[in-house]
Amino acid sequence: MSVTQIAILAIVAVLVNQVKKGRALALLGASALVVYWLQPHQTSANLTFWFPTCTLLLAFIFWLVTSVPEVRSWNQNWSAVVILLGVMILVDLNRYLGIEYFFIANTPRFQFVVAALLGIALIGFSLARVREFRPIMFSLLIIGLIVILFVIKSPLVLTKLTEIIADFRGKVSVSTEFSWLGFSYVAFRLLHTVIDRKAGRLQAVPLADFVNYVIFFPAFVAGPIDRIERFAGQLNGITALNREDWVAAGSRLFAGLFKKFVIADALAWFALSDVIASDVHSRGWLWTLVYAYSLRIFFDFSGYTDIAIGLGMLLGIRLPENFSSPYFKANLTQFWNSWHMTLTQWFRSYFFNPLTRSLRSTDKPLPVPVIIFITQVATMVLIGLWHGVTLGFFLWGLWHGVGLFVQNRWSEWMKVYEPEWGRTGGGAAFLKYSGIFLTFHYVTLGWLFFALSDSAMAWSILLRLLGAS
Amino acid sequence: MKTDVRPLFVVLKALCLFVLINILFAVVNPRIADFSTYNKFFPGLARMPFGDSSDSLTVTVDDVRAMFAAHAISSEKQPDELRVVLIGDSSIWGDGLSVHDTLSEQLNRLGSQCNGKTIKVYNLGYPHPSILKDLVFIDEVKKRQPDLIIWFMTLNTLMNQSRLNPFITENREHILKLLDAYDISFAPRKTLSEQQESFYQKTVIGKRSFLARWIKLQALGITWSATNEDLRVVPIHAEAISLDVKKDPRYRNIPPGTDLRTSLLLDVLDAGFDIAGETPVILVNEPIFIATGVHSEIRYNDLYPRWAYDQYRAVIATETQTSSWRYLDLWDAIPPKYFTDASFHLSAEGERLLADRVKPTLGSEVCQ
Repeated sequence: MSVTQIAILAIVAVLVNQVKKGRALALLGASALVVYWLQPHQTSANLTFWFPTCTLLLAFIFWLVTSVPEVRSWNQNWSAVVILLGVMILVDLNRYLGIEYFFIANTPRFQFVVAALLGIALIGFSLARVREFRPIMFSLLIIGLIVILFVIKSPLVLTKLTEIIADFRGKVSVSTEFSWLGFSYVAFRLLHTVIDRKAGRLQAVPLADFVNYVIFFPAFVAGPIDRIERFAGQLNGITALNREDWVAAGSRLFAGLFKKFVIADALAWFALSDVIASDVHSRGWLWTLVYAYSLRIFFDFSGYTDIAIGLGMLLGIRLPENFSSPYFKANLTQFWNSWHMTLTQWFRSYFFNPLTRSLRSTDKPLPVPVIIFITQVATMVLIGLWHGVTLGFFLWGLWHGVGLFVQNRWSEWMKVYEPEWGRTGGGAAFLKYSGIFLTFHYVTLGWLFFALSDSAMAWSILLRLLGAS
Repeated sequence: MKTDVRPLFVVLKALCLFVLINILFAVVNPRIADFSTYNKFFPGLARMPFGDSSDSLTVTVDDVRAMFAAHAISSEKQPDELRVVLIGDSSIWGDGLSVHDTLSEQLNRLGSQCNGKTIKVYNLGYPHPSILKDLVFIDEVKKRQPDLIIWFMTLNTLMNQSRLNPFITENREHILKLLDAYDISFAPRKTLSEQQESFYQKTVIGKRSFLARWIKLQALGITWSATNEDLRVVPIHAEAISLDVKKDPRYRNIPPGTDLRTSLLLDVLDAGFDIAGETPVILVNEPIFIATGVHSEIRYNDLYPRWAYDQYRAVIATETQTSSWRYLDLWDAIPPKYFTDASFHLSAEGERLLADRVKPTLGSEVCQ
């Protein structure tokens, strides 16, 4: 997102907050339009239109499946349906309105869109008639979403897929650079709803609230990942902004803009990257560039989070925090409790805890350290792969999984054998600051697998940094 | 949370401060371009900063003072050093080449000594085909004690321009001073002199583009120090060159037979030699790609039809003879296979061949 886009979103947020009646619907319309507006241009097959459209349709279908009949009535939801349809049709017709320069270009022919919408309407009517879905339906949705996420995040699969499609159409493959904006976050929000529905703990909400939760425009691009019950509660309790809200929102927004567009973008000029990694001629400079990358990724991501939280505040909604001084944490567990917190909480709720429980509740449970190793490594590898299905992200996850396991064992050992001098005063301070130092450097070295697309290069640089090559 | 902060007052105070800073900046007009992290914290650049604005690792700064301040030529001259500067366009700057493969570095690698002093060659080429830019560079480089100036030119650089461009407008005052001092008939001179810098243009907001580029240039010193690479080079593939050329006999829409002499900025050459003063200058007609395929009887390459280029060479030959300028005509010195595109950009091997041709002259001139 550019500064201009953020400024426009801030104005939209303030305007939506000013709406007295039908605020949720106003937000729905704004968010749906923003989903199309922010979608990067795609070269193939009108995907600039279809990706955002699929996001809206997926949200609609997931709402139908996860909601209960009490909130599914036409009377209660017709206005949201009309708004969603209206936005889709309006965007598709923009070629006739002469606003392609400002909005998305290359929209599909109107008849295709109508056909697709009729198909979805048919599915919608069928689903709406079901009072209670069988658990298999939820499982199918979960698997389907994970498969889409895997395909979208896997460059290898995407390349193969585009080759197959190009062959089928008798054309040369044009592009594998697909970018379905916001889908990683949309998928995790949808997974949260369907898993909670399966477990019978999902709060039933009307369509407008559900889709607003999935595509809430301040958090659409880079999170954070809220929980639906928390979000819906806030959505229905929005009040006009008072002086404190303005100050808090403004401070947060400007802090985010400064972090992202001043600090992070300036660090990008000399942060480690594929382009310069092989040319760095000394270990000292290599450390400098790796530190720059480490700081850049923090300021970039936490800057975006601040912007999202600030925009949310302008709307009257308080999004959850995503960062809490992660580079000042004394161990890796604390780091992961303060870095991309909503993602780690998601994984803790829906993967780590269930996996731990299932491993512990077998007839012959594995030894505790083995369970810890399996759950930590599996969770972190999945978090890595969520960023992209590549060797680099896998290794990054593995790096953190192993690190968390080692730190866990160390902490257990320290509970028993921690020396007396380490419990108070200077000794405790020494342990704390050396912990911060070690954690920061462990995390920073891990970024090598994140920053460089060539994992062999990342490994050789890691060895160089440590003086091992 | 209760707060005493009044948002409207905060915005108003910020606005006032912002306006005040802008006014102060415009009034003080600090000479920021003269300050550089290069040659102080980081080594000076081996060639002028230039690059695509969308690339995070390169930057173009049009202000000639900022460019020179970042260049190694602005480092202190060593007692055992003889400075040779190469002035020219993108082919001298090294378009498509790593900084280590440019003509200046090839000459430095060949290594030359003279009376116990090392000859150090500096790349002052810049991808902006204008002899007026060269004149500004000669004026700037004179302050850096050069021992020899090798001035590369071609027909394209010598042609009078009809329009202004960012380099000209960014260095407006410097160029106007030179135009006045040497009575140069630069076509868009009137437009340039009318472009007075407004008060707004002197403010931080007015100078935001320059300031952003200047800050980025300073920060890129870290990458330069860490890698010894000044930018990411997109190589031009030699196999793409065709020995065939287009049939069109016109040069820049000028029909064959037109007298080009009046369109050439020959008085800039006069001015350049004048500014150089005691410092010897060698004028070099830089090598061009000479096509041998279809329509090569009409054109040398896609840039130059034969009639125009032959006329230009004849004019320069006469001019250099009458003015007793040292002149090296290397127009056909490099075979076509060493060009990376069908005009005048050379491959690393091509630059080495050119270095072989230039080196003897360089030694003889500096060691006199």
